[in-house]
Amino acid sequence: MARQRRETPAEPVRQISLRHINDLFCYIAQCPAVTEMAVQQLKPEHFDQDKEPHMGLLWAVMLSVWQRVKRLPIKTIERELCDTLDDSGDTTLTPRQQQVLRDGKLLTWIFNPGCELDAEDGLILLREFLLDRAVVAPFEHAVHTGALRNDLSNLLQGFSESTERVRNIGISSLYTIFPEEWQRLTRPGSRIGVASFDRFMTEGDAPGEAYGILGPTGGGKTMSMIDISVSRAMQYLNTAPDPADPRRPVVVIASYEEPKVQMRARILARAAMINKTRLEQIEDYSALSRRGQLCDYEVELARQEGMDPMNMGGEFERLQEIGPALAGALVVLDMTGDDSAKGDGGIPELRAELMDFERRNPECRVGTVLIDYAGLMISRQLAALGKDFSEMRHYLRLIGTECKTKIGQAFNCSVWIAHQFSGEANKRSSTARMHHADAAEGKSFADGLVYCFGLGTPEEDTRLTILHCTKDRRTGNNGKRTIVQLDGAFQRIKDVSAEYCIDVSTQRIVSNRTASEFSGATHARRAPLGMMGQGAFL
Amino acid sequence: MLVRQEFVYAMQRWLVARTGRPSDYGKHPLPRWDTTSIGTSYWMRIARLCLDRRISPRRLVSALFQNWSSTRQPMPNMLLSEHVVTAARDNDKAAIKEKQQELQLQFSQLASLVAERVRLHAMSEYDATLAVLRNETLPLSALFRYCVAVRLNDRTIYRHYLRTAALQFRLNDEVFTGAWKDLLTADMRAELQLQLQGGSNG
Repeated sequence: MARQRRETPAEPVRQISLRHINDLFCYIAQCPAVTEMAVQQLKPEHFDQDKEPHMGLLWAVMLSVWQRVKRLPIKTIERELCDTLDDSGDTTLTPRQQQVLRDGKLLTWIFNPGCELDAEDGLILLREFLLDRAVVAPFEHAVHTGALRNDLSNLLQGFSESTERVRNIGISSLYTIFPEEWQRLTRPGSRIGVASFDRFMTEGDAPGEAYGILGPTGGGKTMSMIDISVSRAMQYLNTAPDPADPRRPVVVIASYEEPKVQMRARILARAAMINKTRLEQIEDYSALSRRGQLCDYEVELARQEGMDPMNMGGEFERLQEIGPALAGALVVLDMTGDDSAKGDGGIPELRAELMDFERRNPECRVGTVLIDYAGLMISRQLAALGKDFSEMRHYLRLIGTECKTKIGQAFNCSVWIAHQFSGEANKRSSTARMHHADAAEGKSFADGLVYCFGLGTPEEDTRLTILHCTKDRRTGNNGKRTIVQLDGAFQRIKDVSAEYCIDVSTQRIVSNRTASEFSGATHARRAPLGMMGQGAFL
Repeated sequence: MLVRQEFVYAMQRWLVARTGRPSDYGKHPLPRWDTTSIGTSYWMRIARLCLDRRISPRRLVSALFQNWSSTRQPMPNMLLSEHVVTAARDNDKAAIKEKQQELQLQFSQLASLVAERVRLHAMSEYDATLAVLRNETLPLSALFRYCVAVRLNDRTIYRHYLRTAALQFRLNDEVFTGAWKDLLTADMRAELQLQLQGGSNG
């Protein structure tokens, strides 16, 4: 006859009671998987000596029987339990507790609970019990007795190891390749809104993934980050909240290089289309242009879009329109260490900052994280740890995977990581082929990244350069490139592949018109550039 | 003849990439290929193959050159081989997919640019879309601008881009017809073709 299945709490047990302990013994007695795990992890001293010493004694007896016969026969346990009680004359047990052990009702119930037990529930109960008794209780004891203050690092190390041992109980990494019901592979990606990157990332970026951008010194890394972050923040502002998670997504830029004041100016230059130089020079908002008194560059912007310059809002109006809204969708983490000691803790510190952000702003969630830039973050972490800089390559190799698991998957967000090219790659021409193996301090920077991009050295006068897609796990765009222009005034990466091509003779980026004038036929001098060669935007 | 012209352009590109110098290949008659002592010339046979197998000459020629790894020059009679025809058919599918992706990319760019302007200048979506279409510095193709302007019924903008859009359409008319069929209606295609035949800017 099929027995009724035992009802166990689906939620983790927060407060361990005697009832939970009795249930745990049932699972240990009935489910071999729980028994195996319990004999490895559970110790008699984990039971409270004031409230439940009898259960500790029972477990000690069961453990000793298991070690001898590798199973748990009820009669043997019952006999040994009575012998132990008679021999020891244990005074720590109350008469009631001694009676509970002697009369055999508890043991009978443990070995025959009258319902069906699921080993998975038992493992969860064991995990919660051990977390409470082997991790939390000793920690609280150490805090109360002051032991934590005297030997902080060793105790923390011990607690960390205990937690690692306990927290994976009941969680298996083995999965069948042929499940009863097929789970659809979903990847909720969306385009980031920056044409030069979207050209390669046809499905956009997705939560739980990491992406890399490599660039030469002063070659558009931070600009790319700002362009992506503002574009993404604007999308968040214009998107209805997800019913499954109504918290507002926010873009977080962790800046290890530029302090918040400079980042602020660059972000607002991009978002409000205000010349960056103007923002850097003004003393206060009153110096910004107003409607009807536009600067020359603003008149040109209005003319390009067929707008009446007299009606277009000036710098002040644009800033007022976009600034407050953007402030709720994009934040800067100043990790430069300029006005705090932050920035030398690497990824664990960044993860803690993000957790702190979500805790302080319960209506927000981290949607996209951008790290500017990895080399600086790791070198400062190494300096703080007193480690040799030659270890940097090991940290760089892991950064993609670490960002993916510890930030991307933990916060269900996408992560963008900027990094520099090596000194040798910095010296190359604007049209030279770049690869992620040319990253500074480590050839394996792209490990764990879904996409990796490389910006070539920009030409000094025109700021034109090539954006290379050096790694693409999805659409097979590896090795393809496009021509971009770094627009420093408005902090944009402009896609100009429709207007420029590479002259094969001079290996320079030239406008299509120039190429036509010199060769008589544009197509005759263009180098094949992967997708650019098709003239995607013509 | 279209087939010869396509082959000559492709060969010039190949020679320039290989030697770094401009080439005048095809400027003068090609003795072996342009004239023949026996029956039909190779160009005619290739043209017939294109008609029979419904492949555009450009795709056929590009299929030959893109997989050519030898240091020797490719020859026109190679266009008749079956594996080049198969590669050309695969290229057609790839080109349609590429144009579909390009269309999606331009739509997402338009949406992104319009949303920015709506917020920045406190304007309506319609006005913001027209502002984006007018701005020639933004990375949107003339054909795309033309199609959207026609849909929005803005005569000034679509007439402005009509000529360039017609040229773009002509370069890849079969691919655009397949890939942009939801945006590029039959009326638009007819107007674009008429524009080039008439040679007028309206």
